[in-house]
Amino acid sequence: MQLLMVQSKLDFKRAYLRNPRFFIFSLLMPIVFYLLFTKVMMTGEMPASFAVQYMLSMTTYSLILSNVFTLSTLLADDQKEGVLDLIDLSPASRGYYYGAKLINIMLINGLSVLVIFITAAFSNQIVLDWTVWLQTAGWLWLASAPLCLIGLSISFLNDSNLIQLAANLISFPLAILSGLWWPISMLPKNVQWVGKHLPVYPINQIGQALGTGQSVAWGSYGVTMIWTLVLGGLVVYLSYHKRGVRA
Amino acid sequence: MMIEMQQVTMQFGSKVVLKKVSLKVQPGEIIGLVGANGAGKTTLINLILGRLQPTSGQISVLQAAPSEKRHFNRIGAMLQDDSRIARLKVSEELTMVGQYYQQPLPVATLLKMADLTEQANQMVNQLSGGQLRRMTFALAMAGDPDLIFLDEPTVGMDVTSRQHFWQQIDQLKQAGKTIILTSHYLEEIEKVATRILILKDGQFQYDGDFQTLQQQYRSSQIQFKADQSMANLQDWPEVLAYQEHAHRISLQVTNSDVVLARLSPQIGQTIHQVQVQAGSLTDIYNEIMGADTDAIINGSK
Repeated sequence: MQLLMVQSKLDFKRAYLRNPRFFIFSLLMPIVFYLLFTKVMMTGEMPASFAVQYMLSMTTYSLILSNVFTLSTLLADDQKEGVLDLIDLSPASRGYYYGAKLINIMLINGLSVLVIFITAAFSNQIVLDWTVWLQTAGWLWLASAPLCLIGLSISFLNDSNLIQLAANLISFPLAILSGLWWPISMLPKNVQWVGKHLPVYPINQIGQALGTGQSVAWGSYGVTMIWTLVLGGLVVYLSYHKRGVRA
Repeated sequence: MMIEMQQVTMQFGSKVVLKKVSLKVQPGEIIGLVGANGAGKTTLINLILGRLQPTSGQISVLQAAPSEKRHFNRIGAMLQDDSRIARLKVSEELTMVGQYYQQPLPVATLLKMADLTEQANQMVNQLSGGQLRRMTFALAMAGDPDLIFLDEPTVGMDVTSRQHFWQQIDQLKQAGKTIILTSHYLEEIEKVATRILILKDGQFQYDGDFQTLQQQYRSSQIQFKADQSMANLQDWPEVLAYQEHAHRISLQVTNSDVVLARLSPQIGQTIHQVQVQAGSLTDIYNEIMGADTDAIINGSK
C-alpha cells in the first residue's frame, strides 16, 4: 500500500503538476471551447438548457482528452524513458505502476469535471439542484473508466509516434461522431449509426439526461457497460502479450 | 550457486547468438564478460535476468527461474539504456525505485555511491550522459543487491567519475557481492575481475582467471628506444601491433623470447632501454579476436 501511495504521489507530480501539456490540452482547451461557444459565438438569447448541455459535452470532451490523449501519451513517454524497465528489473510488479496511474487519472477526471462545472456555473449563471450537480458529476467521473481503458490500450502500441497518431485519430472523431461538438442528427444516417455505437455517445446521452432532467435510456448504461468490459478485456490481454525488452 | 546455465542456445531468427553455453557463478565472484560488439554479452545478461527466453537450455538464478520476481530483491542491474524520466528529480526517482525493494539503501547513501549528492534536486532528464550513467548505477544499487549486473557501466563517464565508480565496485567486491561486468575498457576489467569470460562466435573462448589467461597466451609488450624508425618490424609474424612515438617504440608481440632474440644484435647499438611486460587483457583479447577486435587498441593490426 505504501508503495502504491509513493508511486501515485511521484507519478502525479511528474505527469500532471509539472506537465504544462496536461493543463493546456485537458483542462484549458475544453474550457476555452466552452466559453467560445457559449459567450462569443452565441448571439442573441441563449437557452438555459444549451449552457447545461454544452457544459456536459465539453466535460465529456475534456475526459476524452485526459484519458485517451494525455494518458496514452504519458504512458508512451514512460515506456520511452525506461520507467517500466525500472519496475521489471525490481521485485515490484507492473500492477503498482498501473494502479498508481489509475488512481491519478481518476483524481484528474474528478478535477476536470469540477473545474469545467465551476467555470460553466459562474460564466453562464447555471443554476441546478445540488442533487443534479452531484448525479451528473458522479456519472461523468465513473463513466471516464472506459475512456481510461482506451488510453491504456493505445499505449500498448509501443511506438510513441504511432501512439500520438492513434490518440489523435481516436480522440477527435470520437468527440465529433458522439455528438459532443454538434448534434449527431446533423450527421448522415450511417455515420449516426456508427456514432451511437461508440462508447462516448451513451456516456454523453446519460450525462445530458441527468443534467436536463430527462429520463435516462437504460440501453445507454448497457452499451457503456459492454464497452467497459470489452476494453478491460483488451487491456488485460495486451498487458500479458505485449511485454517486451527495450531494444 | 548464484547463477547456473546449462547448454543455453539463443537464436534470433536464423542468427545464433549463443551456442550451448554453460556457466556456473559462485557467490563473491567478479566476472568480466568480454567480447566484440554483437558477441552476445547483453543477450547473456538479458537471459539471466529473465528478459529473454532461451531457444534451448536451462537457466537458474539464485536457485530459481530467472523471471522469479521475489529474487529481484537480491539483484541489481545497470543495463546499457539509462532511464531518462522527465519532470522527476534525482532524489525523487531514487525514492520511487527504492520503494520497490524490501530493504532499500537510503537515498543519501545511493547519491554518495554514485557521486550525485550535488545533483539530488536536479531533474533527471537534465543530467549529462555521464551523470545519467551514474544515476543508473545508483538505481541498480537501490535494493542493496547481492548479485549485480553492470553492462558497459562507464560509457560516457569522465576520468574522475570512472575512478570514483571503480572505487565503489572495489568496495562491493570487498563486501562479497557477486558482479557480472561487461566493458570495452579492458584494463578496468583486468583490475577488478576475479574471472574472465571471453565470448566469441557464441561460445566462451576462455573461462578462468587472468593469471592463467596470461600464461596461456604469450602475448606481451616490448618497449625500447631506437635511434631510427623500425617500421619493418610490423612485418615480423610475432608482432601484433607496432607503435612509434619520439624514437620510443612499443611492440605487442605473441612471443617475446623470439622477438628479443631477433633484436639482440641491435641491443646496446641502435636499441636502448629495453623493457618487457607481460601481456595485458587488451593484448590477449587482441590476439584471441584477431582482426575482429573492437577493443580500444591504437596501432593494432
